[in-house]
Amino acid sequence: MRLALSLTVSLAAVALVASGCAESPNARGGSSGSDDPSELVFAVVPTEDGEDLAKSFEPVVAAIEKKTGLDVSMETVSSNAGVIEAQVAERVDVAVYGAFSYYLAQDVADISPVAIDQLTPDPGSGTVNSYGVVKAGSDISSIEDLKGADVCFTDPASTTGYLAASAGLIEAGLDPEKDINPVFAGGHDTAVTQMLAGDCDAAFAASTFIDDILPAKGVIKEGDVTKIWTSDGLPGSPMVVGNWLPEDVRKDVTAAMTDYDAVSAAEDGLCEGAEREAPAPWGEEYAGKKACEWGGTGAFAFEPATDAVFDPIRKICDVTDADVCREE
Amino acid sequence: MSVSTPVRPAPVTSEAREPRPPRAAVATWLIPLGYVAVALFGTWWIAIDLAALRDGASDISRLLARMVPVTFGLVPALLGLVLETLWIALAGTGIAALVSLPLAAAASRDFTGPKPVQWLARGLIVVTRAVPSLVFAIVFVRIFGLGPFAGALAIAFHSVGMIAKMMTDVFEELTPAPRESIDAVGSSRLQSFVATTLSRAMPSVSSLVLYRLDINIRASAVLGLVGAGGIGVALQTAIGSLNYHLAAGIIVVIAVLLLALELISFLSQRAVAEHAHDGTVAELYRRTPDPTRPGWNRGRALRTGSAVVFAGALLFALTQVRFDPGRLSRSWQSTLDLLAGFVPPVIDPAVVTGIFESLVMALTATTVGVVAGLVIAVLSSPHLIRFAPLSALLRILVVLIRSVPDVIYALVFVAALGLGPFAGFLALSISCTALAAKFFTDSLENVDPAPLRALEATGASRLQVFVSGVWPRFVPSLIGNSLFTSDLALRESAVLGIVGAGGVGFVLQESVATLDYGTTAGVLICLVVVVVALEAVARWARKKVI
Repeated sequence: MRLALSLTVSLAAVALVASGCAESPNARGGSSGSDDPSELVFAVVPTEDGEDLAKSFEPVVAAIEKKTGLDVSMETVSSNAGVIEAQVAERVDVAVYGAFSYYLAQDVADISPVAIDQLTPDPGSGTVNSYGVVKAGSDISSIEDLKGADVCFTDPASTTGYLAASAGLIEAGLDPEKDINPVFAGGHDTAVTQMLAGDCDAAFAASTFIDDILPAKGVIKEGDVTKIWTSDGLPGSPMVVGNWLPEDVRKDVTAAMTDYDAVSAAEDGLCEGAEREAPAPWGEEYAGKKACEWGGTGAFAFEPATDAVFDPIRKICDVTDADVCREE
Repeated sequence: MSVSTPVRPAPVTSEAREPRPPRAAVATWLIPLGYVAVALFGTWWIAIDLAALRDGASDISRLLARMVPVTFGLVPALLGLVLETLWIALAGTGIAALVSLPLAAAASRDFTGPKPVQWLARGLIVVTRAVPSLVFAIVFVRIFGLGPFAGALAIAFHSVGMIAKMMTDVFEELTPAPRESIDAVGSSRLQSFVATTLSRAMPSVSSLVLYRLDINIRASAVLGLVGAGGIGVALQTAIGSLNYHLAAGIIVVIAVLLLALELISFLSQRAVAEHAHDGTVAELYRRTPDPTRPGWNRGRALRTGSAVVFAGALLFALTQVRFDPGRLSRSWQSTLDLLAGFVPPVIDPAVVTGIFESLVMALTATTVGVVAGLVIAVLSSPHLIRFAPLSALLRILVVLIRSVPDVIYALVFVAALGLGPFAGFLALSISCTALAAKFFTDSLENVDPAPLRALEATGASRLQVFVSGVWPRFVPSLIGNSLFTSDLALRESAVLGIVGAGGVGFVLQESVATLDYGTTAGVLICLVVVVVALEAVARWARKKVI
């Protein structure tokens, strides 16, 4: 009893002292959106294939701070709508999210894409694909064979997990709502595992899941699944800045992203103590060199991007006329 | 779970019979003090800035303007989704209610059976409550496959923790006299429970089961993880694709559904309230040829009728979520693989920070919610103000507040304030207010009216009756439900992730999405520890107060 009482009283005392004396870790500097920002707000939305989002963007934040001379506060946000609404209200200056989120955001917020993921030193290596897969040994060998089948997708608003596949089905002469029985599994991994468990005959998921993540996590083994369809290349995750920022700030942010790559960032000391060895797909030129964890996908660099990069998504939306694509 | 201290043999003096030693009331101010202390720290930590909220008002109205006109998409499709959700939620909540009844009876401190059974029941209740339904969903989808059955079970498992906990509280708050007298005539444990505890608890029990059904309908977005579809998934998709017209339409439909449930809850509470009309209407049953068997009266017919209706609805719902038993034999290997991923649990700084952030936010938001909820509850219960339209209006208002999902509040505050804990705190405070108002209103309505009538008969004013008759009976549930609101808010704090304020919900979602199940397990362990701690405080307080 006495202990509980004294604990509570001391807690209250600490709270009072803390609130009186120190600045909260969450206190905001100037408000963003003004002509002369004192701080940039940088928001990232997790992609399914990234781990420890906050840490992997630290070097990127350091690069932006260095080039612009402004403080950058980073927020990791679980919902694309949260970031987009903050952009509409001009309260997020720089954001990294999925390509489809950009497609939605450009309609309501005053923003421009400045850079896009580049996974290896090859330009354009950040493009992703959607795969259609079946269990090894299945009778289904092409997307046309899916007529009447139960098909697992991710969710209706996923480009690689539904929309691209849906466009593919339409191009193959199948109605994705009537000619197949769509099942939304809620995740790329669930779509594939439940297809293997027999809940559906085929599954559509992002290429990274089938090529890298699921095998690496031991969820699927070599030869478990057979690929029956691959989509055209789709844009990866863009970095987007608000057009309300002064032009020099926007230029500096773009420069921070396109001047550095993961290796030169490490050389410049942007991730001191957290360097990793350049991965094999980056080729011999970078073998054995130190690199930063450069963004949520562990990319090699960000390459310049324009709005035209997102045309494949507009095309998919034109073909499917999906509910999620409708503009306001 | 509380560690039950052995009862000190009281000296047999006349003083040992004193009704309540004065220092017993310490919990009634120590716990509120604790809340205020955390809230003070929380307000500093969150950096509350009301001027910013005023400055963002125009951004809020711009966002709200984008929600009108409300559209409903294809109406038959939407109604199909509503029914689908309703059946799954009904099946899940019904299963949970049936399982909770024996669990709550065993966990109650009036349970006279073996102690290990009591500990086991309390353990099950805390663990099922601490584990978020997201985690049950990913496990059950492996076992039972995609579809409504896995969804109903995920809902059922998580609901057991809340329904059984609240049932236990209801059982313990009953005055022991009727039970003791029935026990004294040599009834069996089951006879005594049914005749004295269950019958008197029925109004509260039916109301809390219906409330859980309400929560489960609102939380049905989790069904998307098991491929069961439903209205929650449709709402999530609409918000995710910025289709706010449709999102608003779905919210309207959910609000209508919840209002209907609230009406059923209100009517059925009146119908099953055995003692609600004590001394005001004849409680005598009609005579039958066999003098030991009671005949039928209106109350009994209503009670039996509604029980039959609910049983029928539950049975029908269960037929809607059937599954293929043959599938079980094929799924055990993949389930084992999944569960193996949970070992070893990882408790890294991100998990600990997440728990800390969520806890501070949940406790601070609870403090706001309890104060606001108390005001609403006192105004809408008939003890102080007997103005039926006001009480009906407040009830409807609370239902409408809760029909709007947290994510919408979060988006509104993000538009006004930008990303960060302040927006999350406001969104969480609103859901805490709705939770607390609901809990408090129900417990105020269920205060035993007999002592109040007695006080009124002495000529006491309404305020006097409230202060000396209602308040002392209400304090245990005030404290219990405040702690429970924090407990729920802690797990509803996924809303913090939407506004970039971190929290344990964000860590949990991220770990599940990246298949990092070791971290998921770490989060679960931390959640169990915190929920057990809150439960221990609640039990200690109840021991002191009741």
